[in-house]
Amino acid sequence: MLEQLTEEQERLCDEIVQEYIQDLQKPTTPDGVAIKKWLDRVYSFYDKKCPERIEIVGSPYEAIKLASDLTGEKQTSTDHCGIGEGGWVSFYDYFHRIGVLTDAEAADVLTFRDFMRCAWDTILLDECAIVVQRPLALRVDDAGNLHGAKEPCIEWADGRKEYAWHGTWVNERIILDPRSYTKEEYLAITNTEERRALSESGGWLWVRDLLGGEKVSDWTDPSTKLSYELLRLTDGQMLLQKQSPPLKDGSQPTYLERVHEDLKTAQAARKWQALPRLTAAECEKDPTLEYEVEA
Amino acid sequence: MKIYARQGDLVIEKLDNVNVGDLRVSKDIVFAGDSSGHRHRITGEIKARRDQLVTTILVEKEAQLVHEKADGHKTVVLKPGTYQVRPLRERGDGQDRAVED
Repeated sequence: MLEQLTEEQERLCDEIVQEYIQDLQKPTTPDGVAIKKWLDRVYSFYDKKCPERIEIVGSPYEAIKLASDLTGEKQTSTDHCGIGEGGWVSFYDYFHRIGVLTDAEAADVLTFRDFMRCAWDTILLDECAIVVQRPLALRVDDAGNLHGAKEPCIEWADGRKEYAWHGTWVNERIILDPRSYTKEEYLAITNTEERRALSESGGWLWVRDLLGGEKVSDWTDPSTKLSYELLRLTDGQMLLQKQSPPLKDGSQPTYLERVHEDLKTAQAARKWQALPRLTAAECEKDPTLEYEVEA
Repeated sequence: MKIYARQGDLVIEKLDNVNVGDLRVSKDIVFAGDSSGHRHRITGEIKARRDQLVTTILVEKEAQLVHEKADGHKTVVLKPGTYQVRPLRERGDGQDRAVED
């Protein structure tokens, strides 16, 4: 029984992690042999033979459409059996490489690994095996989140493109033309992460100019050092600009959220957000609020 | 005024009044989440009741509130007790709404 990893085995563990992460972004072309080997195996799990018809398509959307057309039923997702399984596949791959698993014991995992290195996912039907090709491009930020500052984060082989800002799915416009947003459009975005993505993509100074915001109050929490600013827009709307507590990666993004128009101080606005049972006036009268934990 | 915790746009307030009505056993209860599906999740088994955006929970054994984004908000430990979990409030047009993250 393995009780302690050697230094070399620990090093190999880190190397395999990086290997799988870097593999994600490789736009590999489908390998017919590896694909057929996996399909034969996976259909055998259900006591079936791999159908003669194998279709390789350019995106999950194309796969879903084909599956819907073939079955006459609305398909809503792929099998989620492909590149997304890298976590546990790498785990067993590692134990095979250090000799804990025999070749026979690791055979299926390695067959699957070879498949996911040249394909993305599947929709397996009785009459047709649909295989989704890997994207032509997949872009991430330093933390490994899907991200493209001025370009798609995913470019599928069928021409479809996806956009994300540091892990938040957004539309194309937020990435390619953020400053085309009008003030009304900006304020109409209800999702604060999406709004933050637009703000960071377009720039916070642009946001302040766009909204015509004037700072009326600021406050720094003496215990956490988090900063808050209350802004008044020309139409009377009030926004609270606030700094996030440190995230797991140490970053502290900024958020901008609309608060009650009767609020006068940043400290009271912070309390108003947290306590829906209080009115703006009650929060102004006593703006103190302490959290035991802020994360 | 002291509140137990905040994780991103989720407020966790400890309740002193323990008469919170019927709660059902729930496992791995999740809250909100942004468009990338990064939800807040309480790991482990607790008792809970959801009333629209407000969730009342009874933690009998220490649990954790985890943000599913790898580099997202840090984990918050929930000690045994009764809590109300709700999103931060945001001003909407005509009425207040929850901050969506």
